[in-house]
Amino acid sequence: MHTPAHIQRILIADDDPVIRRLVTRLVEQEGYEPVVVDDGGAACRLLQLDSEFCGAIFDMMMPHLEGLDIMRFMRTEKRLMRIPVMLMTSEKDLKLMANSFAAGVSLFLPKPFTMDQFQKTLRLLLNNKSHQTTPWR
Amino acid sequence: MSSSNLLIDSPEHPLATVTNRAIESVDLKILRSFDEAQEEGESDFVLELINLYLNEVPRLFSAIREAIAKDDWPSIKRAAHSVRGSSSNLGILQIAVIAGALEQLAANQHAPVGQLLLSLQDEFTRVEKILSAERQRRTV
Repeated sequence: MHTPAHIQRILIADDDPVIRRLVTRLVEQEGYEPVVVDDGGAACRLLQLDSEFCGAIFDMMMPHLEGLDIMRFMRTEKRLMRIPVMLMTSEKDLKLMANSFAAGVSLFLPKPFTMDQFQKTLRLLLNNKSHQTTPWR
Repeated sequence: MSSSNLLIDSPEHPLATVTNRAIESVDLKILRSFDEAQEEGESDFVLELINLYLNEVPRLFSAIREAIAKDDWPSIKRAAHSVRGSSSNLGILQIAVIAGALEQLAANQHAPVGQLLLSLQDEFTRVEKILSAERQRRTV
């Protein structure tokens, strides 16, 4: 599948329709094209066919496959390794965060988040792909 | 009387703090902050979020009820987690707190989850009224 260079697509996976809608709108407002799925399994199936994303935003806790599981899958495929990933989470589990960074997560977005926090984190994700941090703690 | 037999509203109950009325039901400032995501010429975005929330939460309550009947602790935890996530992000604070407590109880497989589901449903009745008023304010 080929995506023209001027189109910047972001993969969004979240089972919560409210957060999914909110994130989709905020991604659009930043000028990116959202590609939206509602669970981790669907995200993995899509990534097997299509790696043309400039970033990915996953909810940590989803049915079938969680955000961290998708990350581990992505790190097994070279074409997917370059995609920076933001994990959204309301967990405050330091071990889970450490494991996520070890699996290659670039950034965390703690929930609840404001529009401003989302926008800043997304910009950080896409402008500084090698940086791993949690900006709001 | 064991703690699980106490009413949650009783100050002796270990979960009494989760129904502390000092936390408002809905912080409309948080909800309305998403007006900044409104696109010109498109339908009211906050209204869309309200409608999604009011449709989704009863579905999650049903999932919790069914999971309680089956002692399916992971499903209770997952559904409570979802209620907490969307509620806290939209400023629906009291439900977020109660759902967080329910999530913790389910994680520890602790029995009185049914009482917290009743508290959630009771609080949701209040929230529905507040959000319906907000919906009406936006549609007139």
